Amino acid sequence: MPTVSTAETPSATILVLTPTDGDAAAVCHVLNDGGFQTRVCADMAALAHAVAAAPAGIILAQEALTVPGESGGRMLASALKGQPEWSDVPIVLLATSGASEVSAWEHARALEPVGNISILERPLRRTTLLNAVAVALRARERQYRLRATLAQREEALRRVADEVAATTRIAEESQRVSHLLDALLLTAPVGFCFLNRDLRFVHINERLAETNGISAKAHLGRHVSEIVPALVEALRGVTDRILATGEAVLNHEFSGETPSALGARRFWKESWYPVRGGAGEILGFGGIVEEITERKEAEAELLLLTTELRESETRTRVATEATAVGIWEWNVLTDSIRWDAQMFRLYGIAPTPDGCVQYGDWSGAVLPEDLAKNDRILLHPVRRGGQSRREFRIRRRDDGRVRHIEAVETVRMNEDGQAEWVVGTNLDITEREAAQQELSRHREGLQRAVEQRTAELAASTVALHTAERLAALGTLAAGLGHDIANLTLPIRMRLKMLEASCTTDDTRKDFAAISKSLDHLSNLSAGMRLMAMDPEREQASTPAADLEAWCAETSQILRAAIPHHLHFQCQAPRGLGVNIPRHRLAQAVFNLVQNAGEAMAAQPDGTVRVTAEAATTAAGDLVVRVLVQDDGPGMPAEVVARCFEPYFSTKGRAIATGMGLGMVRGIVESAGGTVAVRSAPGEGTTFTLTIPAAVSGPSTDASAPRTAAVTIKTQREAALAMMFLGQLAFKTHRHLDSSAPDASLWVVESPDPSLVREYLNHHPHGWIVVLAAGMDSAPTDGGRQGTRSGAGLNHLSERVTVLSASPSPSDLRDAITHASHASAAATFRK
Amino acid sequence: MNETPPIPGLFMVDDNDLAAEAMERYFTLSGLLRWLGWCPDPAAAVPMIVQVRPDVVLLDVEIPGADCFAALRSLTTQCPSSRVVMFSGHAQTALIERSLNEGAAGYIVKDDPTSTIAQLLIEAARGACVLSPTASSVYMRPGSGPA
Repeated sequence: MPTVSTAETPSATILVLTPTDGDAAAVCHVLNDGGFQTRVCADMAALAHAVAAAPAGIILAQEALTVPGESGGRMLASALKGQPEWSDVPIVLLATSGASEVSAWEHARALEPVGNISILERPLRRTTLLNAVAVALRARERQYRLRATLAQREEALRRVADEVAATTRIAEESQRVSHLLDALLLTAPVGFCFLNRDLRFVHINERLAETNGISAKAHLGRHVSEIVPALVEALRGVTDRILATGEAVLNHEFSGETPSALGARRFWKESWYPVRGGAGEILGFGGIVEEITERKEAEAELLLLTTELRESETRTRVATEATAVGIWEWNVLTDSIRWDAQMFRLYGIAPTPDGCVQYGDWSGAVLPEDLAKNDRILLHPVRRGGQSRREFRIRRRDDGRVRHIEAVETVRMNEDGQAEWVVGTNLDITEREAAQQELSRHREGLQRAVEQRTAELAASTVALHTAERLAALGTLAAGLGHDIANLTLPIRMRLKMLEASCTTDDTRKDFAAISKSLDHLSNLSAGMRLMAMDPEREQASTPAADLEAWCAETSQILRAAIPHHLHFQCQAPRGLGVNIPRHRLAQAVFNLVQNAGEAMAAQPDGTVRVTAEAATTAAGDLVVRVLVQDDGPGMPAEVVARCFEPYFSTKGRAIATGMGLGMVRGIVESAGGTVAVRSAPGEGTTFTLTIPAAVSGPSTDASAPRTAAVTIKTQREAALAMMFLGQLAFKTHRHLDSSAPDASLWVVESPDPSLVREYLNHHPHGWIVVLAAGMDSAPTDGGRQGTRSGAGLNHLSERVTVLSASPSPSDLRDAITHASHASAAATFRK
Repeated sequence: MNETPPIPGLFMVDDNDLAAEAMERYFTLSGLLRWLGWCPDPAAAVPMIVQVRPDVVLLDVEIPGADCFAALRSLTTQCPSSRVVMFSGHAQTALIERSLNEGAAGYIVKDDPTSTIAQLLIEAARGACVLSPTASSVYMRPGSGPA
């Protein structure tokens, strides 16, 4: 196979094949003269071989194609087929002289598919040959030029193809990387997004979308304020900063709530960076968002725990210092003991530099009598592990004071079950011990006080119940007194009518018996009324100025206080009186009589006596002794000693309050008297009420009745004044003359002052009660004499009592009573 | 010429019919007072009293369901010539005080002796103010003295 020349320029050699040597020489000669290079080929085979060297052209004699036994045409055609596509070696076919034109044309046509054939007829002219060769060579040169141009274009195409291939590879790689990046962002454990300059979402990964509570797709194109309105302001601050500085903002913390968890505060750490275009302009913002809520919470919790731990440590230290707890350690294996500073303070020992002490430092401080026992207690946990607690006393080394110590130890054992470390505390409990002893004493005192108060409370509860019961009984007694009065009234009326018709002794006896019974009934009613009165109201009844009358009034009710099988006597000599309201005296004596009756209830017989007698005290004062005596069992000395104590009682009865004797003493002492008791077992009991005697009033001085005058025109005031005077046993008359009356008491209406002076002058012990107009309001004239005003009269003498013109009945009563007593006292002093 | 004073007329207001009947019989037979009538209801008694104009009225202080003091006030204005004496089974200072304040001519307790009651009513009819012994024992206490 011939090789084809790839030279850039064509060979200058023209191959010549002419079977006739003469032709070849002639042709070469002409051509050489013409400046062409020639090379003569011996035969077709040589020619075909030389074609591979890309000759400038071929001059071929026609007869070379027709050599017998050779297929010169095919050989040449075969060689020519081996040319490059651009190569078409020019062939000048020298037609055989004398041969038909048809033959040469046919040969040319045979080679035409592969050759560029020009036909020259022989004989050749020199010019024709040169021209044909020159044309052929020029065409040949053009082939080469075309070939060069073609080669350049191919090279350009090749480069383009290379570039296309390279670009395709880059695009494919880029796509792969893009997919990888997407996958990376999609699955990354951080949130990522890209916002344009308007803060609208251009890209967001699922992680961040999930945080925001809606899908990634739903984010796209929407403004941040639509998705996470709570964060937009903070984000705008960051993006503004990026736009201003052109630099990324890294690790910025955001907090707020998101639509996915409304109400929950969440935290994020975010890095935002500018995303730039080709010209460096900022297209938007890339954000990498990492949620750190859990971390923040953990940090907060850790901070809290740390704070608590510190506080706990502080508290422990403060508590240790405040409670004066000393701590010590004993390394059993090395037998070294260490104390903290408080231990040294507790024991009054100067601290050692390293805190180490000897056993003797401790044992020397412990009082000997406590030492052995404490060693024993401590050794127990050292042998077996666990805790021990001891109390012992020490004597401080510095001041010698004895202190009480409470010690607690914990032992740590090693794997072999041997104690290797003991840690213990010492607490000074001296003050606590003292406080406990003090507390114990207080507790005992308190207990006693509580017991006492409880007893008093129980007693007062009973008293309250009794008081309620007594109040009910009082109401009942009052009602019964009222009913008895109502019932006895018609009996007494009708009995009074029968009195005149009692003509025989028998009927008079019957009448007397019925009357006596009625009197008893009336006295009982009166006594019940006295018992029903409020003992606290001193003015509920008049004083027992006549004890004989008081005995008649109260004997029935007092009798009712003792069992029926006992005897009762109640009597007082005439002329004795005491200044105690009748009901209060009745209630006091009732208590004593009731006590006596109860003391004697078990006796088959006995007598309770109420008597009165006059006496004189050592100071010469007149007194009345009211005695309540019984011949009952009497009281032992210890009961006598306590019988007046409040709430003291020896009785089991329902209304025993212990208040009885206390009340008796209260009543008597309030009247300026005293109560005494004399009693002994088997000798009965006598209570003696010693009470100042009542001043003998005019009502008891019947021998010389005093006189009173009433000078009042108004019928009602006059009648009331006369009634009150009559009740005070005055012999009263109306005195309507314009003169001073002759009377020891004068009740007068608006008198002339001269008459008042005259009366006062003539009656040095007389008293005046004046009813004066103008006394309803306060006097304003200072009480000038000579006027008829009450104010003026009031200043005439202390013996003038001035009332209003129409005083209330009680005012009139009080004024007259006061004047009566004052007048009587003045007369008595005389 | 000595004229025998006329026998005072008495009207009684009391829901105790036994007492009223006994009173009527006693005063009629004794001739101490003229019995002018009796009524158990104070309100109903007022017009009767205004009509018969007794010298003295014996008015029970406590009649269940009735206001005896209202009757007292009515009588002191409508029949001032009749003297009203309050009559009660209770001798209580407050009741006596109120009776006298509201114009009663006296206060008698039913326990008091019959003859005393009759005498006090006669005195009251003649213009006096009266307190029966039992009422007096309660009311004539020592006061605190005049103001």
